[in-house]
Parts: sequence; C-alpha cells; structure tokens
Amino acid sequence: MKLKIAQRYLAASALVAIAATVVLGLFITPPDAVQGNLARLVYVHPAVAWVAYLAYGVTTLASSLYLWRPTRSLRWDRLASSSAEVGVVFTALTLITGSIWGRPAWGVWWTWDARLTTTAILLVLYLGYLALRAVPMPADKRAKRSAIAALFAFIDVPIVHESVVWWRTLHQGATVASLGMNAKIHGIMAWTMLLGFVAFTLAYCALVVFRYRIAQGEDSLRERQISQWQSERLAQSQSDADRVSELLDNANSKSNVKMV
Amino acid sequence: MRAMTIFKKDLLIESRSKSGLGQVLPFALIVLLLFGFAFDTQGPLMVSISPGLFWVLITFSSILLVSRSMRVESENDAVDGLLLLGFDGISIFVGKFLALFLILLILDILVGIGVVVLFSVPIHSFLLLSLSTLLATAGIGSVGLVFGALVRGANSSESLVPMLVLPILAPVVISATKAWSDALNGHGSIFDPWLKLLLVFAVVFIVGGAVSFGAILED
Repeated sequence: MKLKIAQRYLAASALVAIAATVVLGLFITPPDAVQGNLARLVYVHPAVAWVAYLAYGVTTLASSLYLWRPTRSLRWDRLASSSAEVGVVFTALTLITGSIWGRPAWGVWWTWDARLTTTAILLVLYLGYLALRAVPMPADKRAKRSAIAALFAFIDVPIVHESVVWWRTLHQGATVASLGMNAKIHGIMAWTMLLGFVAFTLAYCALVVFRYRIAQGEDSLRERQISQWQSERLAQSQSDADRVSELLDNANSKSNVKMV
Repeated sequence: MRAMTIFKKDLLIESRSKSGLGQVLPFALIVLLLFGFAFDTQGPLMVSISPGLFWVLITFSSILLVSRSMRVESENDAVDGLLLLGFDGISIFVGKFLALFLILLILDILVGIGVVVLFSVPIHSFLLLSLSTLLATAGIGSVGLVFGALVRGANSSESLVPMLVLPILAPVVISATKAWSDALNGHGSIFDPWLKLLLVFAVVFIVGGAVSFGAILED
C-alpha cells in the first residue's frame, strides 16, 4: 500500500518535472551560440545516461545484498531486476539520443568512440542479464544465479571501459565526444539541465517502484496459484479416498450378505 | 589433488567422446575457408585483419566447447554427485578450468597454424603472440565456465551462453587482437600494454570464478 502511494507521488512529480524541463528546454532557454537548437539535447541526454548508470549501480547493490546471507531476501532480487530493466531502457535511450545529436554534430550516427562503445557493451551486457532472468527456474535459484551474474557484469564494466579507452586512444587522437560535454554552461541553461537530471531520476524511481510492484504481484499470484492447486489436489484426493472407502464398504456389505 | 582428478576426468571424457574438439575443429576450419572466400586473400588485407578474424573465430568456437564442458556436469545432475563425493567448488573449478584451458590451447594452436598457412601471415614476435594467446585463453575459459555453470539446466542454454559471455569477453577480444597485431607487425614486446589488460582480466575472472563456483553449483 505504501509503495502504491509512493509510486503515485513519484510518478506525479516526475511528470511535472519532465513537463517543466520540456517547457524550459524547448521554449525558455536560448539556442546555443555554436550548436543552435541541437544543444537542447543537453537537457535530456546526460540526464538519461546518469539514470542508466544509477540503475546498474542499484542492481549491483541489491544483488550484493541478496548474496550476503544476513540480508538475503527476495525483495533485493526484485529490486535488482526492476532496476536492471529500467536501466536497459535508459541505456537504449542514451544511445538513441546520443545518435540523434551525433548525426548533425559529427556527421555520423555512430562513431567508435570509447564512451559510445562502452555504453553499447553495457547495453548488451545487461540484456544478457535479463535473458538469464527470463529462464524458468525456482525463485531462489534464479535470484542467486542472476545476482552472481550481475556482480560479474559489474566487475567487467571498468575493464571494458579501460580496454575501449586504450583501443581508441592508443591509435587515434583525442575523442570528439568531450567537445560538447566540456562546453561551459550558464544561467537558465544550467538550471534546466539540473532540472532534467531531477526529472529523469524521479521518473526512474517511479518506474522502478512500478516494476517492483508488478514483480511482487507476480510472485504473490504464483504463490496463490500454488496454494490453490494444492488445496484442489487435497480436496480431490480426499474425495477419491471417500469414494474408495465407500466402494470398499459396499463390497464388504455385499460379501457379508453372501456369507449370511 | 582433487582438482587433478576433475582435470583427468574431463580430459578422459574429451578423449573418449571426441565430440568436443572433434566437432569444433572442423567448424573452425570451415570458417577459416569461408573467411578466405569472403575477403581478398591477395595483398596486405589479410595480414591486417587476421588477428581480428582469429580471435572472433576462437571466441565463437570456445563458446561451443565451454557449453559442452558444463553440459556434461548438468546431464543427470552429475555435478550433485561430485559435490556429494566431497569435491568443493574451488577444486571443481580449477580442475575443469585446467582441462578446458588445455583443450582451448590445442584449438588456438591448430587454428593459428591455419591462419598463418592459409593467409600467409608473417610472425615477428613469437613470445608476445604466445603470451597473449595464453592469457586470453585463460580469460575466455574462466568466464565461459562461470556463465556455463550459471545457465546449466536451462533449456535455452546454447543461446544463453553466447549472449552472456560475448559482452563480458569484449575486453579480451580487443586486447588479444591488438596484441596479435603488434606481434605480427613486429612492434610489440612482452611489455605490451595489452598483455597487462589480458593478465588483469584473466586473474580477476579466475579468482572470481574459483571463489563463486561453489555457490553457483550448490542451488
């Protein structure tokens, strides 16, 4: 019940914040001196990327808490999976918004820049994690295996990043990705960007709570189905036993009659 | 000592069944020939792309061997038997890892010879080539075993293993390809930075695998 209320407030505040970001970002803030209207993506793209990293951080933390025996609870598993799902969506959004910006700014939809490549690997890494979660198996087994997979994915991320940075920088000059990012930002533009971060973080929280509640509902539905199935089986076996004893009684009484 | 028992067991299964390398080697050879058809084999192109082709082929072929290595344990719940016999997670991991490492090395050497012969690739730094191959193979083997164990028993494990393992192995493919490029072009040494990355990856995943394998198997 508490989660439902929290979700409602979070969703409402996220909607308001996103609407305010849209209004400020599209109509109030001036276009950039160099990039024109293209720079307006700065209100969305970095915020979306931040949420993706936050989501994977939460998945890792929740997975560790599940694996640690004193805190082992399926709640952490639900949180890890909910956050990873939202993270995958936001990673895809990061790549899409980055690509939309990249085409006019760099002239290409995609470039093998270190940051872009790492983000793409991150996306497939966690898609694999979600595929592992989709395998039908008992809840505690799945929770344990996916928590271990999440930790391995997390350990891999810095190595992936390091390798990709070396790969691009050992053989090429400085990357282009930092050009737009290093641009100084002032006044209303900075505030709008900050608002974008708050708005998307709120949206993340609302989505995770929503997804968590769905997972909770799925689990309780499964439990209810199992107990219903058990009671049906019990009733069935009870009526079978009654019928057998009835038949036995009949047979006994017939043989008694014959004996007489 | 217990690890050596598992190591011998896996090699015995491999030598008797012949369905591991026996199937994967012909596959690798066919793909090498297909690469020959797909790219221009005359001229310098093959020398520049052969490290990448080699490591992509090795990664894909390894996945087939890795899936097999864990499948023999999940069939008939053989792994439960091992645990009941008192084998702990670390010795099972170490034994299986060493056997897989040896089998993967044979694959590396034979496919490597194929690349050198078929694509006329010159080798300048044999030491760098060998060291990078050893470290990359250790990385591939350890990651493969861990994820093979995580998906064991699932119906779709054949497609799940590559989906989980390939993104994790991205740094290995990058580093091993670059180290091989350096070795083939003759401007590499044993202090090649890519070797460090391969070493870090192999150590992290061997230690991580050994520590977590018991927990992965006992569920």
